[in-house]
Amino acid sequence: MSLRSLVLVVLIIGGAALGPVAAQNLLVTNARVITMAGDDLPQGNVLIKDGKVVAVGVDVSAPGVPTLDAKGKVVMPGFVLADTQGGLSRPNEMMPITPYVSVLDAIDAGKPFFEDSLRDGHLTLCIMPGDRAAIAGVGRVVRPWGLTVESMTIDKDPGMRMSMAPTAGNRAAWIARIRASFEDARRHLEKKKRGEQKPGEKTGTLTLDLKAMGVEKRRVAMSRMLEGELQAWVNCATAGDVVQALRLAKEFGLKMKLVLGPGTWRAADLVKKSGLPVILKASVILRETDPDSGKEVERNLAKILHDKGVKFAITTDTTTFGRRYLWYQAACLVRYGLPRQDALAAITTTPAKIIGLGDRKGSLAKDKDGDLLVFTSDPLSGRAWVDQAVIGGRIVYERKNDPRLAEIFGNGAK
Amino acid sequence: MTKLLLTLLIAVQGTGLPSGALESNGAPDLVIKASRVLVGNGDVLEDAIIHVRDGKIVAVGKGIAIPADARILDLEGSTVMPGMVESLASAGLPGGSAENEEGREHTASLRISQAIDAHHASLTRKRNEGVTSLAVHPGGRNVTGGVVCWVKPRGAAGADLVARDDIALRISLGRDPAAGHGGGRGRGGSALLKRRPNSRMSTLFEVRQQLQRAVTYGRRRERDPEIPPNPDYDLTLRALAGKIPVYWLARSENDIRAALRIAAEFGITRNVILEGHQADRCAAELSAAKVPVFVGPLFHPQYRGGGRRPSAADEPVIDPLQHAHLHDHDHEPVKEVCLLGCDKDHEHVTCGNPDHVHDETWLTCLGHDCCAMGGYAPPTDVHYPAFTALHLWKTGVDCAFARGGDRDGERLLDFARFAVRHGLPAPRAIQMVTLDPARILGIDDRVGSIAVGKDADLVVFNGDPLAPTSAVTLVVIDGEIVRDQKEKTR
Repeated sequence: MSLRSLVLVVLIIGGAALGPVAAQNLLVTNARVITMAGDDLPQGNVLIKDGKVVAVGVDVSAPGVPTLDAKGKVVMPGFVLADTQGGLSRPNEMMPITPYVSVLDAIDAGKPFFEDSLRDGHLTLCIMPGDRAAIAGVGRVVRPWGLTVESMTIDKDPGMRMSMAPTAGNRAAWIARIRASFEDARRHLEKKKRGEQKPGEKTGTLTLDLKAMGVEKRRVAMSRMLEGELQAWVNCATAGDVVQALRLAKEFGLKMKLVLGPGTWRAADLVKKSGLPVILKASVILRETDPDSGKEVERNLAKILHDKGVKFAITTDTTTFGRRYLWYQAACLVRYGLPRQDALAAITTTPAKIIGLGDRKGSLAKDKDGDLLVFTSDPLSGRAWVDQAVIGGRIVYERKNDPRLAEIFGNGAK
Repeated sequence: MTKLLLTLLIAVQGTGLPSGALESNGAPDLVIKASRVLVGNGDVLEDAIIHVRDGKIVAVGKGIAIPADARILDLEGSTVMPGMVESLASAGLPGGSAENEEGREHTASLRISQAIDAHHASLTRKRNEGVTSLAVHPGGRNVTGGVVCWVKPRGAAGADLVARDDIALRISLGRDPAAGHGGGRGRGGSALLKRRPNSRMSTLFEVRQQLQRAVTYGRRRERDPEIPPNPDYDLTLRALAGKIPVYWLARSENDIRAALRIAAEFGITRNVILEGHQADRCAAELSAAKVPVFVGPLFHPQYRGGGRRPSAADEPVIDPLQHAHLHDHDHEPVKEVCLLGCDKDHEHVTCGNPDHVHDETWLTCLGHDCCAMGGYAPPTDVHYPAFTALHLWKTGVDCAFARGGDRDGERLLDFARFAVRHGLPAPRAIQMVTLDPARILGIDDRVGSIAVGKDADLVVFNGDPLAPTSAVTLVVIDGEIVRDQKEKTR
């Protein structure tokens, strides 16, 4: 047994100690509750039954249900990472058009990323392929708890990663390739509708039908996008990329989400007009130097979009500390001038909605999934630690039983 | 926590210089009223006033008489702290990055102050995050790099920003001076830069040889004044005589021990360790030798997920956490990927030169910049320098934070923020980016705290500076407002 599995087992057993795992009932009491669905409760309880939130309120009680006293602590919904390449072993395919691949085959449940996700409270992870390919493959929504990708899966295919920023060749050729792929898939679809489809040819699934290999495997996946079954998660590095992405969306009727780097700030109005869901990459500040004066100007995409009334989710990839600390990202948003509630929404409700799980994740309200975090203090204070992480009513992480923190802090968590 | 915040009522009138004792140069005095003033030495003043005249602080405290013509900034709700002191910077140098003279291995007499570009945006960036004093260093690509200078990023057109040009002599140990010496990029072993040193042993040999040569030169000069002067040796002799400190770039334990050893061999009395990531492992020796340590960067560049490729110059930082990650799951053999046939899990395209040796820890060619790595994101759960700082502080080693980056999360103040999260007391964390670095640099007579007679270098935050939600709203250097958030173009 590798140390990784051992750690997981310890984490899991540590959690199980509180009650039978199967029950998935839990009452968290006496905490300040940041519900993200209406007002915060200065002191309240959260009741989870059969993995779902049953009640959030001051007078909630449930005799016989395992109770977690969170007095003096802060409870909030699990963070949602709307777009990450964490947990993948080699996320980038070097061929530009590979819509038939899926992160299913690249997610490595043994990656420390998943352990860190529990520590940091990232309880819903939308893992997408890297953005070096033009059409890069299908993502997957997982929870950071489980020993196989199957047991971790929440949603099988949230969408297809696309990237408008060329990593090879020139921009025109890059866009042309994307367009050609869609056109090919469209012809294929039309043929199918006219009944010219060959017998045995499958569409609409990712089943590895040998007949659907070769050119077909690409068409199959692309058709799903044209039919609106798969959404496109489009990586844009510059304002020009946004223009191209919107053009593609219109031309092929694609359902699209924009993943924006700071260089797209000039397209902020277009983004707003499009009404498309927006995910911001971890780094939102662009520094531009005026070629004449030599003066450097900072552009803050988060602030620009916020001022225009665009809601967005923010991610952690490419930050200085890797893929960690969504709370730090939200704290930065407050520093840039966003109201606290909007900053918190960018790591909870908004990303949950974007990945299509708005009815299950992102807030603590009746009938939502019983995913929550118990913080030692306010999550944006910069000093808070996740004491417990709860997924579906199970305590899946406890800081006092975290072997790695024990390792670095000497004798267990402080 | 608040128990630690001493509300010191520094003598009402007593601490201020008598009114009129200083003749003003005509500019109106600046008076800042703030809800909280972090003095820099751990003290906190509530609802205090800072009175500035001619770029100096003339009074701090409550109930200070305000001159009628003074310019008053009422910063209700704000926190003022001393301008931060960055002790290891390359800001202001051409390109905003390291400046290396690689023509010779020893360039002790080169003064980096002469390369400062007052208008460079890298200085503005530092200033905007609240850094008002920087120790700018020569690069680490040769063994004795030159003389560190002290810069104030005032940004005034054409102004001389260099406050002092002789802070310390910088000596670089470890892999930095060896990097790139085995051969040029991608050209195997046939490059022009092939010269000594290209190993750690050789680097240390170079240091000793240079020091010994300087000693010999000194003796010969004493006997025969006609011998032509050698500025490099002259500067080295000043360091040997304790007239200028020696700053040793020594990240790993063995380099730190080597620095201490060489200092003892040659009787160098004033030593400082730079980037001492593993200084906690020789805390007793550092404490006994009274050698201060600059700790940083807090997040080693290598931990940037999917970001920059680790360069050969970077030292591996080993901590238990890191170890566990690396050895347990990140080493699935993927032999077909590596052209050199090594068994590490990394996707790199190498130069194909079988002579290049691979670093086992960082999966890159040792001493060569030729191996491009794609998609390699090392495990990130490392705040090792934060723990180093914590340990050094607990064991009584003089230490401060240094070498902040330019992005959110890696700035100098972020070091203090994360160190507090990991257990460093808040007042101490503030001190480790203000007064402590100033004292180690030997410039605390002028900067590092908010005290009467010191330069009026101040940073104003809209909340607790240690909260990541707080933003810099105002920066004052030498009594002049050099950054006002309101004027900032978005």
